[in-house]
Amino acid sequence: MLKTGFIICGLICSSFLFSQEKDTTFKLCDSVDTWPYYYPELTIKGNFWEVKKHYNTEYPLSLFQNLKNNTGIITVQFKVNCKGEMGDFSTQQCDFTYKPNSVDKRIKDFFVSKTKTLTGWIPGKDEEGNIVNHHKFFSFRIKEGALIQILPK
Amino acid sequence: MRNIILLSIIILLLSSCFENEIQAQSIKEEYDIQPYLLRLDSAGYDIADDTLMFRIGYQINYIGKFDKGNALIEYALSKRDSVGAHDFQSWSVLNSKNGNYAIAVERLEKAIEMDFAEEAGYYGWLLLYYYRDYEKSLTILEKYDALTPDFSDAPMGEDIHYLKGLCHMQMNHYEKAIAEFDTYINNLAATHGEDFVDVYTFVQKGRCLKVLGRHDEAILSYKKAVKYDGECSEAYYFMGLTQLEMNKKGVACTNFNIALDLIKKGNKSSDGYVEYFHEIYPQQIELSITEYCKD
Repeated sequence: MLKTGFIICGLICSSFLFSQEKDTTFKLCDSVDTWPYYYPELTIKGNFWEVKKHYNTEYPLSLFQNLKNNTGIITVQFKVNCKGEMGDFSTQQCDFTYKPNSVDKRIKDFFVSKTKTLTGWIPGKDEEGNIVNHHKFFSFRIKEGALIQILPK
Repeated sequence: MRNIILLSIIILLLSSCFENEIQAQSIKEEYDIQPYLLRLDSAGYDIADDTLMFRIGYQINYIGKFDKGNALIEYALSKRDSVGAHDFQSWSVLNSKNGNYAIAVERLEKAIEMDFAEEAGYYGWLLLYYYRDYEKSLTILEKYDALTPDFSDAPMGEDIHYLKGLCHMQMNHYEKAIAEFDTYINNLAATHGEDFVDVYTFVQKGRCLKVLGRHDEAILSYKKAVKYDGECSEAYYFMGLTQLEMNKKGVACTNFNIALDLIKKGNKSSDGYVEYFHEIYPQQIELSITEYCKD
């Protein structure tokens, strides 16, 4: 009985973990390397103006202002493959002194889900003219529930 | 029943484990680098060569595998008799550029603790542009600037008074920001000529003057930017915003259209890593035109 319990528990937890952070359908393009967002430059249709709009639209300010643990920096890291598809999402959190912390899960989930719905990525090209994969991130400074800054661009 | 309770406790414990595991991604220093070192060794790399291992770790970070890259750098530094301030600074660089803030700042704090005079300029500059931590940036830049009272430092090539001015501007200390911008402008005008001043200083100064209601002075500042760079779309755009407040809608709209025309021709100030404080976008100008210039 206990053994069965462990198996069920393992399955539940694996499913929880993978649904949070893993996307098994995402694949980097095999024939090219993975580069940072700044070289060769990864851009997005409508540029950073649209990115800021994407996060600010529907930002549930009044809800988040009423939560506890609503101050800190949430970073969502991800990859963009040569086709402009996103995957391999992960998160980091720290406070304003850059010590690891944890803001309310609803705030973190908002940024993860909004990041996953970004579209229009235009990956850069390497020196041979091949369209490459990228790793990219956005960080969000949140003070008392208010989104005060999106980094880096 | 006992088993059900036990199972529930295990699920709760493991869920909490996973939650902590996700949170603990802030610093993943527990990465086991040994298997990778064995592979490097088998491939003929000298794993006792700390410089080489640091360089490989840095490259691994460059491609975005931060757990492995940081673990290899940590291993490389552990092989050194002594680790200098600049080693910690170097380690921090790609972590800052990729949002690994907790890791980066821990290294940067060590670096300035070991050699403030050498490392603080970069740290202050970085906190301003990459972290948008204006208060901390200003504290460090002030302390750094005080080391050489008769000399204007230029962290990462930018005048320290300009950087301090930006910090003040972002914290809404507009008088102080203007004072710092003026110090930079006057110093450089005296030694090299005003045309050597970064034109965006005039744009930022104009924006501060506008907030203080000193509209005429703001316009003069934007015009100075245009004098030195006739294709400065930002100067035209912010000048237009100031003119709106002066009830000069006609000239404001003319300037918005000039700004839009310039930006569409590629006259846009931008950086590959971060957004500038004066950065504007075509959509932003179009919105201003739609809102104020369509009747």
